[in-house]
Amino acid sequence: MKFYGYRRPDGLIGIRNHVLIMPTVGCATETCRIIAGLVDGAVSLANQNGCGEVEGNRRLTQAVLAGLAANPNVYGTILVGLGCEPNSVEAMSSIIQKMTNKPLRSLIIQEEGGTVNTICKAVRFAQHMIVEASSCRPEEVDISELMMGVECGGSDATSGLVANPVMGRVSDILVESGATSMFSETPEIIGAEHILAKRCCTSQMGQKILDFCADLENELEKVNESLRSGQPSPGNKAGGITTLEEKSLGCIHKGGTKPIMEVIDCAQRPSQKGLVYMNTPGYDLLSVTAKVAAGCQLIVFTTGRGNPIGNPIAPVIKVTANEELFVKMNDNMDMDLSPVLQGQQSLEEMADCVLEEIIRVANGKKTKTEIYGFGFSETVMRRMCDYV
Amino acid sequence: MKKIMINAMLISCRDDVATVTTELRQGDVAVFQKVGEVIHLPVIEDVPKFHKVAVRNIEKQETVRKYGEIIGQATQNIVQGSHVHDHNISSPVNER
Repeated sequence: MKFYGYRRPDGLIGIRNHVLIMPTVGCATETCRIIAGLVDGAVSLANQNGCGEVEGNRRLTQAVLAGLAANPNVYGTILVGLGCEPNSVEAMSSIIQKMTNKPLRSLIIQEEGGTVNTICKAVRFAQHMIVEASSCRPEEVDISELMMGVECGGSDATSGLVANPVMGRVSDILVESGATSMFSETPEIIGAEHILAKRCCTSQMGQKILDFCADLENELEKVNESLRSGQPSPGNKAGGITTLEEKSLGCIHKGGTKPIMEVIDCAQRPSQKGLVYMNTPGYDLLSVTAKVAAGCQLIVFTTGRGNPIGNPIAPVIKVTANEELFVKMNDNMDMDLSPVLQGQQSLEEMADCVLEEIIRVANGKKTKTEIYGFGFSETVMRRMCDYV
Repeated sequence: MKKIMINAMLISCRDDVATVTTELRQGDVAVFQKVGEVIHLPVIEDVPKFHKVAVRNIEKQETVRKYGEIIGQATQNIVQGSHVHDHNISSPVNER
């Protein structure tokens, strides 16, 4: 299997060719949105952090922002800061430059003399970068250069029954072909974490998965919350789910059956190819952001009740096995997997169809999130504690 | 591919339960595929949409598999074709 992608100076392969207008701080987010709106080919993201945060949170913010700038779908980045924020443009530049040698420029609103001056200068920077980016030609590369993230959200009974098993099969085929498949969402593996742990290449990695779950449960205990009690919910039970194990298995099935090669922290770039597990919350916006920050060039998102979110940097392919939803929310949905439910296609045949769609999207076919700009700038990051 | 009308799904060939994709009434036949073969299984009680039906006789305390993995343990003997839910299976013990 092959696809066409943009080879970046750092060696990674992108499937999109964006110029990223990145706010280092929430105060610059609206300015970045306006800049990106003025230049075709530029994207921005909604960063609400970078100031008023403790050092631990600042590190989380920096890891995600740097990862997004280093994502190979980005040709180059223009950083826009305010000037007095702890997450300075200088700090961000140096973190990004440790990850990638792609084009990088920066502007500081206080030094440029306000929003309007910053926008004028940034638009010229962006225009120059777009000229360079649009001169790049995609080249044919092996599928092993692809890193797919799998996400599930707004699930219903068809998610666990068809969409996630289909994605599990897709994940297996990609892994067999030398590519990377990444899945996450720690709250949703609770109940089946022992099964995932056994699938890890080493017992240390397996222990890391068990620790992710224990840490999360301990943290929630402090605020008198539990992910086990009351699960499966009465709604789940009415829908046919009997035990927490069954519910969680329906979720983890999207990761397929291959051994887990690496277990990584939220937004961390993996060092191995193959199946990778990332520790993220189940919150889709955050989990998608973290996977793209880790380098995923595309996301496949399974849903049963429907979901509109996307990502500014990576295409998000929405798949559902709920035929009614596919029709009702067609503006948000890319693929209908319901023929599997009706016996018209097997899981394996449908997995091949999804794989073909992944290659088409990698080659430039636009997803609904890209065509309409739904999910243009959604970016959510993990927090250790409240703002200060 | 062959157009077969199915009304249930067996996710893994190791599974003890199939999930019905439409409501089945007592006496209806669940139709699903198992490794390319079409299985016809009479259901002996009503099974709501997306609920599970036993594809074999399961003895009390035996483990019950779906997705090829253990999802529970029988709390009573379960006859093939029965509705499988929280009245006859519970979370497995000693699995952790």
